[in-house]
Amino acid sequence: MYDVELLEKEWKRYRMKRRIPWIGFILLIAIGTTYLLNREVIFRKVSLYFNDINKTASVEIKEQNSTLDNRTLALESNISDTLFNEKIDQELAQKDNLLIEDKPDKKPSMDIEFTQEKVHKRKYLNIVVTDRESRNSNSEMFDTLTIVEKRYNESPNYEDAIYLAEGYYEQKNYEKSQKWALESNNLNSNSEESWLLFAKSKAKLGDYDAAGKILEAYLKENSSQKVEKLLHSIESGKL
Amino acid sequence: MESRYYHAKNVFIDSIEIDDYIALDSSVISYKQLQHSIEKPLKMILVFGRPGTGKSILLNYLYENLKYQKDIHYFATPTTNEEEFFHKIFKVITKKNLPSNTRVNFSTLVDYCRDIQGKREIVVLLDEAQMYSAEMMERIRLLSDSRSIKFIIALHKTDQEDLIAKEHFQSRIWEVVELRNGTLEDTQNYIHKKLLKKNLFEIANSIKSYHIGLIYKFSKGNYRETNKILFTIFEIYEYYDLHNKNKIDENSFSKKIIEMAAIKLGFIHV
Repeated sequence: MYDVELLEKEWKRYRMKRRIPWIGFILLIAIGTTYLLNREVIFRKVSLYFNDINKTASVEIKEQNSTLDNRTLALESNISDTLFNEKIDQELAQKDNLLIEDKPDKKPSMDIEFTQEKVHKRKYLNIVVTDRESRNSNSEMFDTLTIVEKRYNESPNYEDAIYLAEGYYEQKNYEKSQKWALESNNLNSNSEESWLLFAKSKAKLGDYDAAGKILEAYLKENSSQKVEKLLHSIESGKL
Repeated sequence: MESRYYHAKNVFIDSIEIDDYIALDSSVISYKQLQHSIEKPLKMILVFGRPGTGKSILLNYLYENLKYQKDIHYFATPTTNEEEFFHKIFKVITKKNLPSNTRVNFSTLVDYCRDIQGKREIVVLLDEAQMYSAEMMERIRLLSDSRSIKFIIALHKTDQEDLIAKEHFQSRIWEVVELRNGTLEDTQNYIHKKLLKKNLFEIANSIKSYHIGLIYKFSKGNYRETNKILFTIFEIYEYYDLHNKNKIDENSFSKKIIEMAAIKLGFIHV
């Protein structure tokens, strides 16, 4: 008599081997049926899952961002570094014509939203550039004017002088504005802007007559609607 | 204590005993064909079929049925020694033994056969004829040409044996009886009749068509393979009956045990 117990074990193995394709088939049917019946729920859950991933990624990016110095904001994104810098440069150029040596200092502050449509897929950066001026405080502007003023002393030029005249006028420092308007006019007597700023500063300081005379003198030699408009404002006391 | 399955097991021991012969539709046809061929003035008849198709039992059955009616002799075991074979033939013809140290002169034997032509008709049944050498087969042919000895030769059907049959008997054989594996119905009848013959009614009734189908799948209708499977099945039953009775149901046959037997015999590879 051979070992029937051993034979029975072999038979159990054989039975299991025979059942495997059926188990696989039944599982496949079950998965398929579940999928068909709960398709919408599955899609919803999957999309929720990916949204969670996006949120997490966004928070991580923001946290990283907050640790960076505002002046030395740099993104380590292989995809968008170049585009990013180009965009910043364009924005700056549009906002004003300032020549600032320390460019990163002047980069506008930004809110960056990191959007990930799918995991393991391409990353897209949505960069929203906000108004630089609205974000800059007076002290920052003041610092800028100091830096430009210092640079002007080292190397005088019209652009820096007119920038300083404008800057101080905005800060309502009309004395300094008047001084830098005169300085710029010395460097470029044809600059209408310097005439206008000088006249406006005089007027703000209460010397309306002098302001009016300056503008009238300019109009004798030149024709300018802007100057005429300013003269009218000064004369009517609307400035 | 003896298990009831012990008897069932022994029913399927492979044998050529006349008591174990089961008259199935196909085997009855073969038998009648063979019986009819013997009546014809033919010199050689070939019984042809794969191992386990019932050639030996058919020859034995024929011998047992005709031994009192005809001068018929059954050589169940092939004699590879030529001298011994012709001693046996000499005894068949002359009904006398020869001293063991005496050689049979073949040409004298052939002459003697020619002398008795028309007076006697001897039938010799040669089983497992594929074991005989080509030279011996040639001498058998010469003896059959005397027309006083009719040889019924049972051969296994293989490609090689086909060739032997063609080479040595093509022009001599006048009749071929080919045995084939049984059909599903033959297998069912075979199993049931065997069990019923030994009065194992309950066991026979517990084996349903489904079980027969499974057994047939493995045996392909070959009676020797069917015997082996059934023997192993009842051997497993016997073991459980004696050692772990709760693993078997006496009223219904078990597919599991059929498969276990098939694993044991190599029909199923795990």
